[in-house]
Amino acid sequence: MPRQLRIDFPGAMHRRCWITNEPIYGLTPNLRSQYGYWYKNFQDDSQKAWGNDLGSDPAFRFGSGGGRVAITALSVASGVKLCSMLKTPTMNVAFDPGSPFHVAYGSGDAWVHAAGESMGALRVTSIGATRYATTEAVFTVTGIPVLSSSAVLTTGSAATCLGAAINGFVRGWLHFLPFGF
Amino acid sequence: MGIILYSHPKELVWNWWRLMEGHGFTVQRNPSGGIITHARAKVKIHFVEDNHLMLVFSAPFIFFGKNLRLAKSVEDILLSVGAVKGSSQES
Repeated sequence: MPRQLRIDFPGAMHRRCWITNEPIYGLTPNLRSQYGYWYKNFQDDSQKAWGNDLGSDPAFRFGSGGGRVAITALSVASGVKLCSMLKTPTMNVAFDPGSPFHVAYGSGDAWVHAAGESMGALRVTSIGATRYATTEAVFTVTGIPVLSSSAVLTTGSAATCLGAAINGFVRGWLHFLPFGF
Repeated sequence: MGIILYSHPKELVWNWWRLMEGHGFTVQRNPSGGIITHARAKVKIHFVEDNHLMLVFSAPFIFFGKNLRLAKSVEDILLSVGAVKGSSQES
């Protein structure tokens, strides 16, 4: 049986919803009470069709997004665990007060940050980064897995400190690509 | 957001607080620099390697505007005694 049902709401509104085995999109509590009878029928039909209780089905309650989030979270957790087992290098990120905030990042004991002459025209540099990360940090996130610590510390131009940190993380993973990311 | 680096003459390390006090700011020194206070605004000055210094806002975010004005005043003082905005090195 195709996993798709159609439900036609009667009445003046002539609302028509296409329903998959996911939530009833657009069915607000108000509409649900207005069309409670049809909603109940839909539940009954669904249970017959798919043999499950939609109320306890996460895909029904949270939509397919819930499933995707769960799968993504599981994948990330597995990846982190795998990297931990393989002892890949890690990246650290320190969040500090700045103007008004600042981010320094690095790998091991080495730190870099985006600093320079003016905002928007910064360079990734090690000058002052270690001092900043060790004395000013409000909190530090450590142990973010990457593939290359040297790629994380690559210097260059940057628009913002946060952008530089994200760029460092991406470089840490994609440094082996042939097009010289 | 980023940090503004200043390269500065060596002797600034030894007399920066006198400069600031001369402009009416209160200075609290520490081993790596100090805190410059004016009204409720605070700006930290950090002397780092290779004759560079950084200015960091220190007071709570609600005083962002005051911090910004104080930082600008401090910057003007630093520039007037030979500090230069930006790093003198490429990396």
